[in-house]
Amino acid sequence: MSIVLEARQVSKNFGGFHAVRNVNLRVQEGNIHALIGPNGAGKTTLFGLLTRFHSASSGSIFLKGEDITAKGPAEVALRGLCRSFQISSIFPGLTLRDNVRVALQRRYGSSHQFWLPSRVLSRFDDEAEQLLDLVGLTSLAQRLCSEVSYGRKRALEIATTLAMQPKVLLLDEPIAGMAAGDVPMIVELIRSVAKDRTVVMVEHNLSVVESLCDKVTVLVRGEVMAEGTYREIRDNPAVREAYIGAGYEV
Amino acid sequence: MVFKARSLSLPERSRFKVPLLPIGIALLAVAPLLLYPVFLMKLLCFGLFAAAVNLVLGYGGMVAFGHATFFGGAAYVTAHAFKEWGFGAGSGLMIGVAFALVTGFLMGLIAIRRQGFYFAMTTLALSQMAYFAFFQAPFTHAEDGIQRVPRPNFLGVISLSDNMSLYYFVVIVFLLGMLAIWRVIHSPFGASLTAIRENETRALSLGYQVNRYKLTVFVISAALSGLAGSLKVLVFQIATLTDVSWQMSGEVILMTLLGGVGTFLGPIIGAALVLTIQNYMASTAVPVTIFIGAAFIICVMLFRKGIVGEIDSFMRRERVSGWSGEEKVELQ
Ligand SMILES: Nc1ncnc2c1ncn2[C@@H]1O[C@H](COP(=O)(O)OP(=O)(O)O)[C@@H](O)[C@H]1O
Ligand SMILES: [Mg+2]
Repeated sequence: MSIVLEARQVSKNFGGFHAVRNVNLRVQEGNIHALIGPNGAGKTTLFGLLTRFHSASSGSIFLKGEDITAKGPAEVALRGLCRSFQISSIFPGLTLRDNVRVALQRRYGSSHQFWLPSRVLSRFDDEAEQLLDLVGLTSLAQRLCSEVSYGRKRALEIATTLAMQPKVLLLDEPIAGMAAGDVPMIVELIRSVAKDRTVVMVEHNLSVVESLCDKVTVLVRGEVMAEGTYREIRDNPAVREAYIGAGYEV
Repeated sequence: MVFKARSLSLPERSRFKVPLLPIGIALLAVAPLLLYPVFLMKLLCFGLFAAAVNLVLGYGGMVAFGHATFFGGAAYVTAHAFKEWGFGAGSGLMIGVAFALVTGFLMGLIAIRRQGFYFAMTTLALSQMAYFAFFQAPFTHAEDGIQRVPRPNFLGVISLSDNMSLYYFVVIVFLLGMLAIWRVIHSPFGASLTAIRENETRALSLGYQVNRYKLTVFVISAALSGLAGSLKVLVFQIATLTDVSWQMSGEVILMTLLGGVGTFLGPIIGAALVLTIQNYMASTAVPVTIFIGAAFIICVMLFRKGIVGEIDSFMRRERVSGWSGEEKVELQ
């Protein structure tokens, strides 16, 4: 198994504050890799660094062996490294279907066509429908995004991210804020999409991590504290300490 | 300051289907029977200019403060081409548009990386530089401007010398310009612009190199502003420093805001309003700027989205209140 995504000695300072410090992360192709740690540990910042939304203060990032440290976030996304956001990030004034079509037209490279009528977007309808179906949103396809619940926005965000057919999918707390009834659907979805791609996910729900993830990296105060299978992590005393200190149940 | 266009009606959401084009053509055809054609032509030129600016302002979500450079610059180039090089009407307009397109590309290249206020200031600074360049360039004749510009034939044979035939020519060019704008708004690219305006970060994460889209819309807007400026030369037979001044950039933004930024017809309504006020005020002692300023403040206070924007959201409210569905319950 090869390494598909790698961070080498990556650091990020905000002012003088070290949000991420000398992090080494190696994600194996085909894995579901969890990133866990207490709030403020730097997980979201690390996602931002990997997807180039933040520029690293030092260190470098590799995607499929290629150094992407100097690339922009859009380029990285087009190379197959796509993310979702911790706080749901959608296009509120568009319908759910248009949200997905906007992603699809970018993937197919037709998003710059200013000379064609928007009617041509209908060629993405079937694919958009399938994607919405994956996350259980077919019946709301024509609704404006701003009119649906937060949990459904989260599901929609996963669908638009999948529309990019990423090789590596980065999900930042994908089920946080979802209605409890929808969680199993998303967990199963992640499991099924991970069959032919790599997933890195930040997740607080440790039973989800246990059932889904091949590997777990624990981040505490910007540094990697431990890495291994869920079992190894669970039995690691330092991790238990950090978690109990932060008021979490392990 | 951020201007947000109302959500773009992608095809299935276009709500009230008005046959805009036939109504527009009919109105424009009979208008010269009721109104002075030269005034109408002025309105069409500025309406097109404002609609072009609206592409950047309303649909691109960027406050650009330098569009006078494209409008007035194209006017100078077209005037010179008519007067000194003997260009025909069509080729004269085209060379003006080409000038605006290239200038727009250069200005956009420099300015687009800055955000918000800095973008506005960069475009203003660059257009002031252009102003002084035009002032110094011998072919513009500084304060005198290029005067007594001939009105060449179109395609060599169609004479535009009398006001009525010129009027219909201007109408056709105006309609072509507006159709171009309509196409850009209602295109895959238009959907990209909406997405970028709605959530730039998300657009980036979906692989949209947002600055390229912003540059494209800026260049299209510049080219169409140039078309409006060149058309103005044909009508008024003069190109002056006024057309490239920052006041011109400000005035066209005012027209757009008054009519409704991010609406298709708003800028034209806004242009009609401002030009009508200017027209009536010209014969009184009241300084025009004060009156327009007051009208602007009243408008912004009463209709925050501009005239057309208010009508549009009124129609939208009507429609939304007619909805029923399970999702409402879920909104809490
Ligand atoms: N843009 C920013 N500017 C300054 N500090 C930030 C910024 N983003 C995150 N931080 C800080 O970095 C730390 C890590 O944040 P984050 O990566 O969001 O943690 P996590 O996702 O693990 O909860 C926090 O203390 C947070 O306040
Ligand atoms: Mg976080």
